[in-house]
Amino acid sequence: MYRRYHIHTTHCPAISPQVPKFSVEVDRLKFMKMILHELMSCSSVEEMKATIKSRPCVYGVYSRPVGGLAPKSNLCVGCYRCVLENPEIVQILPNTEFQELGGPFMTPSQVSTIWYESTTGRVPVRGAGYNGPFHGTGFDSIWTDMSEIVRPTRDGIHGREYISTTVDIGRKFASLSFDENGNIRNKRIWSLRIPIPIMLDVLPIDYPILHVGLAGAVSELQTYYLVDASTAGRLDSVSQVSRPRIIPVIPIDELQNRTTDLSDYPAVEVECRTVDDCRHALQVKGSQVFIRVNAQPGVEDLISDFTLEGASVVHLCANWKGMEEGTNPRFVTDILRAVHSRLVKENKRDEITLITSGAIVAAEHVPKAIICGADIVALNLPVVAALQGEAILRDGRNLSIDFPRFEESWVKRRIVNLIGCWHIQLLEILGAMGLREVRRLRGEVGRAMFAKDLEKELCETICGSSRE
Amino acid sequence: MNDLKLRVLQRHEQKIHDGLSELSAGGHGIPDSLGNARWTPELLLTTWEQSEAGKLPTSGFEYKVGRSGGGFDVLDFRFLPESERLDERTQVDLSISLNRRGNGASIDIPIPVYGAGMSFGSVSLQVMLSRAIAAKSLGTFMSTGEGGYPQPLAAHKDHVITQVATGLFGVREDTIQRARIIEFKYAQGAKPGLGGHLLGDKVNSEVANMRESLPWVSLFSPFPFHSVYSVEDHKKHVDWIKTVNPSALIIVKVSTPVDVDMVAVGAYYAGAHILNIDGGYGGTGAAPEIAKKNIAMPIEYAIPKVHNFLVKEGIRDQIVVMASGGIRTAYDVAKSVALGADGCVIGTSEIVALGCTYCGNCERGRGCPIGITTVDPELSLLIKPEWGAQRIINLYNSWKIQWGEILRKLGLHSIKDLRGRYDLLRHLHDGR
Repeated sequence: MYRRYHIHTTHCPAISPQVPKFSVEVDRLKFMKMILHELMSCSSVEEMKATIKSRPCVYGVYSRPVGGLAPKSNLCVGCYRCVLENPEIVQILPNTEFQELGGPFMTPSQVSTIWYESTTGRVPVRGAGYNGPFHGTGFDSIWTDMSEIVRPTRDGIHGREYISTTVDIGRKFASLSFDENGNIRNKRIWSLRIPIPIMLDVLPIDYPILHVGLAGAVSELQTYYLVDASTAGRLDSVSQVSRPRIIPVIPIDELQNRTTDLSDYPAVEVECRTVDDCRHALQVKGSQVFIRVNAQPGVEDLISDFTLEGASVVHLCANWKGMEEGTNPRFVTDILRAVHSRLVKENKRDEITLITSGAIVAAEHVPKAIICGADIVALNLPVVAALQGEAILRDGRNLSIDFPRFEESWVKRRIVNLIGCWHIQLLEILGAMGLREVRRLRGEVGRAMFAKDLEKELCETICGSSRE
Repeated sequence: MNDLKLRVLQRHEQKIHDGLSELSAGGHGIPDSLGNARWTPELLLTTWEQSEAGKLPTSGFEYKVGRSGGGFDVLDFRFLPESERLDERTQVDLSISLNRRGNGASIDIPIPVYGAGMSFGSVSLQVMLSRAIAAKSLGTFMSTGEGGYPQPLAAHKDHVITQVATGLFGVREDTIQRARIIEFKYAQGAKPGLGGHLLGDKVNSEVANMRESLPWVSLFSPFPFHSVYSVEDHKKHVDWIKTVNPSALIIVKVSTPVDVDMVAVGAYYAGAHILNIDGGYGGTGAAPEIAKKNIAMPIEYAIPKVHNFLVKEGIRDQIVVMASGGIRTAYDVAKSVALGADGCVIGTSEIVALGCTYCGNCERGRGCPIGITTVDPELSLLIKPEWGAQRIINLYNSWKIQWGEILRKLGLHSIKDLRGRYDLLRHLHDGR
C-alpha cells in the first residue's frame, strides 16, 4: 500500500538551558522610587493593589512576586515595552554569551534556529519582515524563484498535492542494453533510494552513544549516516534495523588492509585523492562505493575523471566553513556549480550522484545547494548544534567537538525533529516554485536569482546613465 | 473591562506614549538591542519622532537609510549644486494619478503612497481604524488586507481598498461594490508562493466570524488563487470584479519572481489599472522565516526591471506601478520612484509610527505588547484610533517635507518627473 513519506516530530526539550538573547537590567533604587510614586498617585487601595500586580511585560520577565527587582532575562524577547514605559529604570542589553554562539562556523541566529527546530520540530514562523543584511556571500547571495500564477495546484505541506523529495543514489544510464537472455548488460546498477536529499556526515568524535543515537535517527528517517569505519565496526549496540543505514568511511590507505567484510553495509565511502585511488576503491566487492574527495582547486577535473573510471557516487567535501583547500578558495556553491556545469557539458551529469557537505547549516541551504548542482547534502555542523554541542577550532586548525551528556533516545529525537523540520521547509521552497519533485531542482540556476547578477544589472542601469 | 482595569491600562498607555517621545528625543542614546540591519534603532527612533512632531527629526539620528549593506541603503541622489536648486518656497506637486487607462473612475492621490493591506486578525480593529482615518485625512487610501472588511471601516469607505486574496475572506458583493478600488492579492513579498498565515491564537471569535471560520483554528490561505492558472484566467478574474463594480479601479498585487516583468505585462493585458509589485523583504504578521529571506527578489531589483520592460512594450504610461516590500523612509519612496515606480505602498512604517519596536513577535496572540498586531481585547485597547491616526498623519507630513526637499534639490517640480530618472541616482559600491 502506498504510504506518503512523513517525518513525525515530537517536542524534545533541550538538555542545557538555552542561552537567552537579551539581558534585562533594572536600576533597583529607581524602580522602588517609581513604585512609590505610582502608589501615591492611586485613588484607592484597590487601585494600588491592581497597580502593584500589573506588569509592563506580557512575556513574564517580571512575573516574580518582586517583579522588576528580579527580572527573568531568559524570557525576554526584546519587545522594549518595559524600556518604553520606564526608560530611566530598565535597559535591555544584548547578551554577550548569545553573541558568541556558533563560534567560527555559524551565526548565533543559525544556532538558535536549529535549537528551536530540534526542540519543537516546527518550522520557525515569525512576524515582521526579513531583518538581516540585504545579501551576503555564499548561500546568502542566492534567492530562490517563485511561480506567480501559472503552475500546478500545490498545497504540499497541507496534504493536497504530493511533492516528492526522493533521490536515487547511483548511476542513471541514458539507456539500458540487454543480452540474448534479457539480462541487463549495464555494469554497476547499484541504486539506493532515500526519501529525502539529506544524509548525516562523519563527525570527528568517538562517542558511542552519539553514533547509536544518530543511527537510530537515520533509520527512522530512512536515510544514511556516514561513520568512520573503525567506529562503525564497534557499534555493537546498533540495532539490526539501524545497521543497514550506516555507511562506513575508509581512507584509501586503509582499504587494502581491511579485514572486515564490508558487504554487510549498503555502501562504503572511500576517501580518495587521485584517479588511481578511485580506480582502486571501485574494486571493492559487494557494496556500492562512494568516492569521497576534498574540495580543492580543479576538483571538477578530478570528478570528471572519476566518472570515466566508473564512479557513480561522489561525495564532495568542503571544509566546515564551506571552503575548498588552497590559497584562493572558492565557496561550496561556486564549487558545486563548476562541477555540475562540467559534468553537464560532458554529458555525464546523470552518471553520477553528487553528495556535498560543508557549511550547510540552515534549512534554506539544502535547496540552494541542490540548485547549484548537488543531489544530496550531508550534514555535520547542524547535528552538533542540534545536540547542543560546540565545535571548536584549536590552534586555528584542529577541530574538536564538545557535547553535553545525553541519551541515545534524545539524540534520535532531536535529529528527527531537525530533519523533519528541514523537510517541510524544502517542501515550502519547492511548492513556491511550483515544482513537484526535488530532482527537478537540481542545477536549476535559471530558477534562482544571484545577488552578483542582480547587483550588476542594477548598477549598469544606474551607473550607465548620467545626469543630463 | 471594569473601570479599575481600564485605569491601570491607561497608565500603561500613557507611559508607552511618554516613552516613545523620550527615547526618540535622544536623551538615552541609541539602545544597543533595539532594531536590526534594515530597521536600525536610529530609523525606529526617528520614525517615532516624526510621528510625534510631524516634521523632520531634530535628534541628530540617521533617518534616511538603514545599514543593510545593499538596496536602498547603497543608493543616493545626485543633488544639484546649491546654486541650481529650486528655491525652498517653490511649490512641488506630490500627487499621482491611480488611473491612466481611460476606463473606470479617475482617482488622484495628493501623496505618492497609500497604505498596504493588513488584515483584521493580523492587526486589531483599532489599528485598522487609525489607518483608515489617516488615509481619509490625507486623501489617500489603505487596504483592508485579506481578513475581510470590518463594518466600522465602512464609515471611511471612500478611502478603503477592498482586498480580494486567495482565502476570499469577507469577499461579498457589498464589500466589492462599496469600494472605489479593489485589490487582487495574488502574492505577498514576505512569503511568495504561500498564502496568508494567521495562527490559531489570533483567530478569536470576531476574527473567525469575519472569515467564516472556527475560533482558535489556524488559517493558512491557499496559493495560488485556485481559479487562476493562466493569464486568461487572470483576465476573467478582473472581469468578474468589473461586473460587480464597473467603476472600481483594479490593483493586482504580485510578488517579485524572476519573470516579474512578464507578470507585469500579463497584469496589464488582464485589465489592471495598478500593478503593485511587493518585494521580498516586505513585512508580514506571520510567515516562515525561510520564505521571508530566500524567496523572490528585493524590490530594488524588481522596479527597474518592470519599468524598463513596460517602457519597451509601449504600455508604461497606461498602467500605474506601485512598489512595496521593505520601503521604510521618505527617501526609500523617492528612490523607488527614481528607479521607475509611480509611488509606493506603505505597511511597516505606518505601524512603527504607532509605536512598533520591530521585535518580530506579531504572530502570537498576545505577542504584541504595544497592542498593534494583536486582537487581544486588553492589549488592543492600548491603541486609540484618533491617536493612531494622528501619528500616521504626522509621519506622512514629515515625509511630504522631505519629498519636497528632494525634488527641489533635484530641480524638479513634480514627483511624476522623478519617475525612472536613474540618472539622478548613484550607487555607493562600498555600501555603508
